[in-house]
Amino acid sequence: MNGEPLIILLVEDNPDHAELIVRSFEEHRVANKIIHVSDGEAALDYLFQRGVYADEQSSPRPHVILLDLRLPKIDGLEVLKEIKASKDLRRIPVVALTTSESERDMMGAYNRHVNSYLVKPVDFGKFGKLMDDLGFYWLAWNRKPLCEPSEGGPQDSPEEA
Amino acid sequence: MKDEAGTVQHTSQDSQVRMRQPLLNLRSKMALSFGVLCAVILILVSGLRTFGLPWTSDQGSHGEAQDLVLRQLSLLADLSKERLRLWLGERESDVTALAQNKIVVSSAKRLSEITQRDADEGLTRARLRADLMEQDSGKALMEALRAVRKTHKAYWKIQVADARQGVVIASTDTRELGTPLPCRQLLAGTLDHAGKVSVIVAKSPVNGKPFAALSSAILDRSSLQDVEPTTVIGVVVVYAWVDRLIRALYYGGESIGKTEDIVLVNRDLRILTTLKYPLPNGSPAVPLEYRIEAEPARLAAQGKEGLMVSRDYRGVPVLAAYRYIEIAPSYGWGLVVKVDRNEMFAPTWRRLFQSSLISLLGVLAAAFMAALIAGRIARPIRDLSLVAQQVEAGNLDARAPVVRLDEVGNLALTFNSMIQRIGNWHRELEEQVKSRTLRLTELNEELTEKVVERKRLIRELESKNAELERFTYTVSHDLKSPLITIKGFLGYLERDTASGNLERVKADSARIQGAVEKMGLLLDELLELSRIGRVMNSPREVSLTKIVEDAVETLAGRISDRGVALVIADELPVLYGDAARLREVVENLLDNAVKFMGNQSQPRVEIGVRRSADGTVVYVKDNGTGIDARYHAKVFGLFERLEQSTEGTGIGLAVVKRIVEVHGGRIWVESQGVGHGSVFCFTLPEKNKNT
Repeated sequence: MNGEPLIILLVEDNPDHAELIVRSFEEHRVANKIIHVSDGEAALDYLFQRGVYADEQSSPRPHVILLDLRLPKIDGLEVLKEIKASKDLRRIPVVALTTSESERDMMGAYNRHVNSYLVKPVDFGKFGKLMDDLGFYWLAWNRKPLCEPSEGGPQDSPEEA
Repeated sequence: MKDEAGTVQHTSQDSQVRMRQPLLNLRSKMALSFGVLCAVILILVSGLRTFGLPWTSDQGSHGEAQDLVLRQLSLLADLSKERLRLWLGERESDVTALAQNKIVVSSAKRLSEITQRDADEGLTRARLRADLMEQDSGKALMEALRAVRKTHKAYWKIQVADARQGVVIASTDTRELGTPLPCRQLLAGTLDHAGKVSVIVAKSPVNGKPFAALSSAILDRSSLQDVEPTTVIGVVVVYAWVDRLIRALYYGGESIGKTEDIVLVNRDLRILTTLKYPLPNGSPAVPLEYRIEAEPARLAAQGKEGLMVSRDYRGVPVLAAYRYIEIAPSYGWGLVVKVDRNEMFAPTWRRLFQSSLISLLGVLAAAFMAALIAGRIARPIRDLSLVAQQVEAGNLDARAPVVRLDEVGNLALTFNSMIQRIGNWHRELEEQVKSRTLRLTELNEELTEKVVERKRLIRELESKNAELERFTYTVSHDLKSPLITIKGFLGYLERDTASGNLERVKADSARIQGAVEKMGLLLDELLELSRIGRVMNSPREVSLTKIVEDAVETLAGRISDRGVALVIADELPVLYGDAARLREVVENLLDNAVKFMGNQSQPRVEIGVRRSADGTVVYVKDNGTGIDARYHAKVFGLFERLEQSTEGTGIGLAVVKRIVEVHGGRIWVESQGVGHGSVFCFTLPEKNKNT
């Protein structure tokens, strides 16, 4: 972990689930900052720094995005597609975090270049462990290019299978 | 059934027998065959008449004519032979009489002595002639010879020659006295056969004409009694032109034909007489030079006699009778009497030609009659054939005319009844085909309907399947969510109570409570949703006005709370369906309209009807928040909510959609976007078309 604050964008419509996720991260001191938006439109607005998120200082680029697939207004898969279509955003790892175990959702997500697909465990212990591992993996182990804005090429967005 | 019908159709089309034009029509055939038959019979009859019956004695007119001609020829030949012999006999008796004449004998004796004397003296011929002329006996003899020649026109010359010297001692022509006898062999022959007459034919050295010379020996009778053998004093020779001889041959009466000819040949087959016709090379035959090779002449010269059909010296077929005329022992002439076969049979051929001509006329008449009869027979048959052609072409109403009550008439009657029956069968078949086709069409339509129905069912099933899938998905997702919440916060609750940290227990318990309630609500609504379509009241006519009134009454509180102005159209249609469900639709839409007014200061909801291509469209229009075009489809999804803040599970519009679709209608939303209000529209099919 370096000194830079680690930012997670949490896109989750269920406030209870959002609370659970935030608590888990806080307990394990995973991230310095968690930004929570509750629908797809808000997520895109944040990422593209539109509307209320226009200020770059208060709305910094996240290091990882946790994306629920079933969202009001704009669907999670749609959000994923827009992220991966954007030259600026596509290097940000997107982790689908959903209750859905449906094959269709999984296929849809991977077809839109999701970086990881996680199903929320019902069990409390497992839920906590997953959040812990998730944070540690993406924010500690996972390496990403340093010089962010210059690399516009299509070549790399470090990913894991 | 189909096959049977098909076959009938097929037969009537394919068996179109093209009427072939016969080479000859019936009439011509009849005429021809009758003509040929008559011709054959007539040819046979006339042939038999002319040529006779084969292998029998009947020779026919041709054979009879030939027989007749041959008989006539034979008769003529006999006659000619007889006449020739008679003539020769006369000449012989003439010459014999001369030779035995006393004057001749005595004169000859005297003259012979003078001749002998002169010869002994070696005197010349002129001297001898003068000596002979001087003699009285000589004069007398010559006088006698001249007298004979005068009376017998047949002779052109009579000579008396001395036997020893062979010199003419007396002659009708005094110039010849003293000259040697021209035909030495005559003298020799006469001397050899003393007492007999010798005949030779020779050519005159003067004019080349053939002549016959007959000679007889003059015997010294005075010494007959005492001197043995008798001495021959000389010979008498009479000369006659051969044409005289020929004249003798011809019987004075009518000849057999123009071409009739009599040919006389000697032993060497040289002709003695002139021939009627020139030789094949065109030149006339020279007597005593031309040699005939023809069969009858050859046979005659060989001493045979008979009748035959052969070819003559010209190579022309002839009927000939040939005879042998014995002149001296082992010496004779051949006589042929012949006539051209063609001339002889000309009448036969003419008769044949005439009878053929008459036959031909008869044949033509027969053919004409046959054609006439055939025409009479054929006309009804042809009429029948024409009718049959019409029938064949498909005109089953054609009928053959029945003119006569004969066999053809009967045929026409039978034919007519046959067509009648065929017509009946045809009609029956057509009716069968028609009815079966109709049945097939019906079955086909039924089948098509079934197929369409099946396709519809399949589509329905597919959409149900998809719906079920969505449902399962939704359930798995939306029911799991509260579970995660419950378990998660129960976990914290447990940990917090154990650690004595009770700060957030209350809040967490509330979260659990909320999740449980949410779950219950979801389950209830899921149940409700599943009922739509399964549990339905029987459809009936429902006044939309009534439905709207009921809905407004139910939501009266909320409407008045928000101060929404409600505009309801005067003339709303009568719908057909499940009244309770339809009220649910209107209630939901109205509720939504009131609920999503946003911060509209003059909220207004309008319920009305408009006409479109789809039929009657019922709409609920508000001037509330409006919906972005992106979410127009999504709003009807199960558990979909556009705003997290508003209450509800997001099942309302899903229920509405399901009810409308179960009724066979369609629902959609029209909105210019956020802030422009929205219009929810739905259609319901007319009464008779619904489910």
